[in-house]
Amino acid sequence: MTVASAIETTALAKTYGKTQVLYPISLSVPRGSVCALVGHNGAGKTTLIKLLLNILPPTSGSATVLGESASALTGASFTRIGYVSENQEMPEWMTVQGFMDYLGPFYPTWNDKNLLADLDLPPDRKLKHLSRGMRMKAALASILAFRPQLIVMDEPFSGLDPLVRDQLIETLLDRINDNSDPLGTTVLISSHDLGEIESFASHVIFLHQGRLLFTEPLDTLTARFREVTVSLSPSGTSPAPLNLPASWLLPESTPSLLRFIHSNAQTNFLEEQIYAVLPNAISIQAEPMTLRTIFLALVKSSHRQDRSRA
Amino acid sequence: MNQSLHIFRKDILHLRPELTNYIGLLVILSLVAPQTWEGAALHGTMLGMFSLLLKGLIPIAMLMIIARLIHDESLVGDRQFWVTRPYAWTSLLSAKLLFVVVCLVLPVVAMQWSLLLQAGLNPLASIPSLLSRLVSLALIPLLPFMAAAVTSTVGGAGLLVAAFVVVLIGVLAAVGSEAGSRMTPPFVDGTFAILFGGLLIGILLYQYATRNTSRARIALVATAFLFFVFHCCFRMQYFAGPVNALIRYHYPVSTNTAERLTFDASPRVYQGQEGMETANGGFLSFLLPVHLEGFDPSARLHEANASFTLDVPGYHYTSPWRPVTVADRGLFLSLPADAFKRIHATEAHIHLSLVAQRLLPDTPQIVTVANHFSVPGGSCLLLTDRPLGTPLCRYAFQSPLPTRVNGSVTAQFCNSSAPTHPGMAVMRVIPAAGIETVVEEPLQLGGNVCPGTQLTFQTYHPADNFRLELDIPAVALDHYYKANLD
Repeated sequence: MTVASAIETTALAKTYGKTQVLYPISLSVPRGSVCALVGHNGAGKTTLIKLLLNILPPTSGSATVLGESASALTGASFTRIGYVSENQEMPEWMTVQGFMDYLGPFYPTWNDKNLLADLDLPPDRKLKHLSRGMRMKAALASILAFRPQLIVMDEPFSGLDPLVRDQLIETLLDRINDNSDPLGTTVLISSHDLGEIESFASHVIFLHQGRLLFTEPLDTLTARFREVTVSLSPSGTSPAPLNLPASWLLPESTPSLLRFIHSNAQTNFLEEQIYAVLPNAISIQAEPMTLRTIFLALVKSSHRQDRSRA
Repeated sequence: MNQSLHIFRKDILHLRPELTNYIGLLVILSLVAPQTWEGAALHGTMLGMFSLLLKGLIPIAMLMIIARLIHDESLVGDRQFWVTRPYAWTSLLSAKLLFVVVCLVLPVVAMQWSLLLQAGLNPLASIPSLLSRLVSLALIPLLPFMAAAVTSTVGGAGLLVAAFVVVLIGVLAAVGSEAGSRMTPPFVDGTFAILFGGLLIGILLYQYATRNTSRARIALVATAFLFFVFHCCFRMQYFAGPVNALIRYHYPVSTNTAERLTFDASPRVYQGQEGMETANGGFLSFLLPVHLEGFDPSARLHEANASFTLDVPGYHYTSPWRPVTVADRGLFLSLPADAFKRIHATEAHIHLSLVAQRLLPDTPQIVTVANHFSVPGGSCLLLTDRPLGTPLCRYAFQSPLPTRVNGSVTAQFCNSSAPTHPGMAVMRVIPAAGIETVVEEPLQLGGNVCPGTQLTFQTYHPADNFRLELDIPAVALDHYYKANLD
């Protein structure tokens, strides 16, 4: 555990009966980062978050959150950690203001001044009468008010219209930038909305079928992935997919064209590398990829590998 | 503590409608119940049914409020907002317990206080009973509290409590009918309450500290199972050795050498009602002419129980401790019917043990009968709708020890020339059940009691516990049982 890590896990795993929902995972989330936790449905994102927050006990392995063992997190720890989830059960009978007033005395650093107004939340409306977007905004307001060192959000944008989504992100970023903590606020956010996340995430954790595929800074990731199109000389023979390097994902070829995803394209000698494999290449086009396209490519590649193993 | 009070305030705010209904039920009961007492204007009307309905509704309302209270911060599941908030589980539990005591138990005590005042009884004189009832009332919600802690819906909690109660009643009925009435040995109720109450509290603390519902549920089922096993084993005499040791310790052999049990060895043939043929759960009763001699005539035996061993060649029987009445004719004892048939004609060796509490008389108190008059521990009134001159006495919860009442009564209407004769009654008041407070008992002295008559109330206080033993080397039970066994 380094001081600079807000979250660190060591072989953290979870099993329900005979079903392994999370294979041993070791990762580190730097302090002050905005870390996107991505993966398709059932990848284990929510389980990982619940293990980190001691909502569920791990089957094996360990984790530390803000320097404390995750399995030893108690109520007092949550004065530094804020958690928002799309599925969280709220005290539906309370009004928005009543909810904020109730939570305030639990936190020594509570300050909800202008927060409800900034988020356009009706103070007198009961939580049960709020729309999905409003509920999420109320939940966000209830954690931003105490300026946590770590914010964990589980699918906060799911099912929200773009306007509400932008408002949530804007408020979140405004508040975490205002934080006086020299190490900054760390945000761990799981989401399917990769387009939105890419605009402000600094790190990415990728889970697939309960396994950690990678965890790295977003700029490194986007630098690493390129969608490559190679024009081939008709006289040459295109190589069989099995002979391609392992870092070339989802290859699709015609006699005159080879298209693939390069997952290790940050090298300065990319073209030389491709010419070495494909001597009959005429031209090479390497396009940068969005987080969404990287995500889709990795999922498809994983499925293809699973099928070929089967 | 601040956090507990904060949660407590929130719960009151949330459950205000339910609490209003609950307190409303208690207020209505405190107004209706006195109208249904004997001697009241509406006694014997449908209001009695309504009062009964209220007494049923109040525990149900209490159960529902407890379930909603606990489920406000549900311990089951992983989606509750509060589990990722700075709640201390000790504060949460304290807040819930505070709510139960302040909002559920204390209103019942206030209602009982009001009923006592309306019955003409002084609540301050009943403080020990009120406190004892307060402790019981505080323990009663423990089961629904526990049920709510391991369920996520009010219906689930209600079903769990209902299932437990149904199984409990079933087990008690099955074991009780098989074994007949039994003595409750000293310390047993307290030990059961401490052991199983302690286990329940332990599981509750564990559940609040860890929210490990599956383990808490297993522990709860195991505790319930253990409770039923313990209870059955106890009733079936599997713990006879320790129970006997406990009883012998609690009831030491009498130090008064004049006190002894004697056996009238002269053979007798049954006459009249002696040696009644009775069969109770496969047991037959026989009247053994055993007498208590040397016992201070001014003292009283209280809660007398007896056990005996019976030996004939090839057969040994040890009876459970059962309540007995020490009468002039002797003691009624019970034996399994099939055993009786086998050994009734054989000379048997019987060893009898009798244990009891000795009550010594207090200074008698003389009271004068009026329309309303106070008596030791309660108050009485002469009713106009009863046979003339039968006072009805009311006590708070119960009159713990018997009271002997003497006075002149008449067989005619009350007037100055009516001939009188001595009347006597022993008041033994059955404890009130549930949330009932006032116990009513007619004072039947064997005639009409007229206003102005002086009655002597002889109360008693416990002096000591003692045990007497009697060895009867050879007795044929045939002589003490009249039925034709063939």
